Amino acid sequence: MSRRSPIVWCGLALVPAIGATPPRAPAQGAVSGFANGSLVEYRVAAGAGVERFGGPVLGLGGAVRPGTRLTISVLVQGGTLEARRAADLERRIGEIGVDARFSVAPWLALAGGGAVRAVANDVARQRWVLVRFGAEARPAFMGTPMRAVLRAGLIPVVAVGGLPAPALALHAAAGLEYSHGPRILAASYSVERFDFPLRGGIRRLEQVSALTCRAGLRLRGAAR
Amino acid sequence: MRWPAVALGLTLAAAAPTAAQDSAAVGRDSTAVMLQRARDLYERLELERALPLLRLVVSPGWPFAMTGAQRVEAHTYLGALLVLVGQRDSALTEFRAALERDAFTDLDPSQFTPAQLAAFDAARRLVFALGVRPVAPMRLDPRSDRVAFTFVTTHAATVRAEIRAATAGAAATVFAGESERLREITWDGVLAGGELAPSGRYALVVRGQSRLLARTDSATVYFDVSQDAPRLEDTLPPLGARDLLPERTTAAGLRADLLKGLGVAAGAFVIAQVATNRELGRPAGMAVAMSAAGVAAGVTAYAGRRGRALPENVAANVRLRAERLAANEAIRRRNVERGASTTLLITPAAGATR
Repeated sequence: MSRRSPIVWCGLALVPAIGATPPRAPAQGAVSGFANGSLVEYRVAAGAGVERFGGPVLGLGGAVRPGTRLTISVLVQGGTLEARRAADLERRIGEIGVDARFSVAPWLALAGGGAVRAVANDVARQRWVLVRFGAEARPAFMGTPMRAVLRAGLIPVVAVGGLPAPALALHAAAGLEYSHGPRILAASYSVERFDFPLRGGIRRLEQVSALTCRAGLRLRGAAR
Repeated sequence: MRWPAVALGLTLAAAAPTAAQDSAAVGRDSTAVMLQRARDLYERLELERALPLLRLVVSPGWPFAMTGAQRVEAHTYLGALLVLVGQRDSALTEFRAALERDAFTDLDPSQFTPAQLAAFDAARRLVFALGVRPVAPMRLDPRSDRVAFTFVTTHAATVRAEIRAATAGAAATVFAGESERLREITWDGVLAGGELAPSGRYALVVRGQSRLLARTDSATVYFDVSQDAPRLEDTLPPLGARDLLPERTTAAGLRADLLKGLGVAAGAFVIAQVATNRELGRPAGMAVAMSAAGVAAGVTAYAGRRGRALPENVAANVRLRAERLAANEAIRRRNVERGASTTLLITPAAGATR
């Protein structure tokens, strides 16, 4: 399998990208669409040292806000992550994820969601099913369409083909969002960490880090 | 005075309550018994026997309590009786006494002779009196109903009738002009200024100037008005400082913005240092990039924006004020609609005067 092998045949859902909802809570009935571009680094330790993979991941998504507090978003993304060591095979990753966010205060929301992720190389394929929840602080900057975003949470359900459930799975992100008129821009740094239990004397560790940029348009409804 | 003494004795004997009981009720009953007896005698044309009874009743020496209506009836029958016995001048005096006490006094043409009616009319021209009937209780819908008042003058007069609030001056003129005898006037519950009469005590004051005599008279009846209005909505309170966004940046707000930017930077740093697994190494580059962006955002937000206008907040406040105005306008409209369905409860009140 060529390492230059193209393209993003499927999505990578590395991160429940920041703003799985639009950066600013849209007005009632708001609908938005966005594109994600992420620089992803995937690190795995499975008894043969730390394998590192990296590369761009692209995605498309949309969000709707049917009520005044709830926002539901869908994101499909994918990409090819090249191995840092020549001996390793590149990984192709794709993901489809659905997230919901419920605002409990203008600056605070509870978030939860799930994703199905496929990780493959030329010899094997692995499917991940994730269910995550957490809290998200979204304080706005005074008089600007900018918000700071800090999010943290757990991933209590991780079902991976051929692997036991991890002993620890969490996610966290920090970023900025800018929403002016119909334009939505966001940048974030996020991490997903999976520590699997010892198995056959080997402790498997996986970690996905991403620096994500998002550009979107509010198609209907106003920012709030 | 033999007849009155006998009549009084008979009456006292016939009446169940005795003079010794001397209560107002007993007195009124005694007067009623005496009047009934006089009427019976009058109707049997036993005029010579009826006359002393009636004279006794209207005399100052009558010992029993008597209502105004009973006194008016006594004078009226006495006048009618005197016409029949040919004492017209005395009859006029009795009719006048009845009219002065109650301007509504009248003779039923089916029960009295033309001579009696003529004498009564003559008495009307000799005395000027004005009377107003008490108000009947009613619920008044100002859009469709009218409350009716009835006043009477003994003869032609120039009359002015006004509704007055008990605590204020003239409120509404309901009649002004010539009137003779009975007249009904109506009022829609609206005061001179066009507003619905607020709840309170009111008086109908009727003043008359005789067209025949140099005399005036007046009468007043009191009544209570109670507005029965649907509950109105309160308008929204004025917007306070806490309700509005700051329209200019403040030092505290800018410091908070700086902290938000630094918070993002610190968050990225903490994620990279704490949330990641040390055995896998730190993905420092990404965290540094995000931290730099956070610091830049915080510093940019803080620096050079002190006292700067915040157009978005100004626009938001304008929207907020407009929404409040619109909401209050809608509430006022609804209140006006509800106010239009207000009805007035009219009840008579004590204190009628002449």
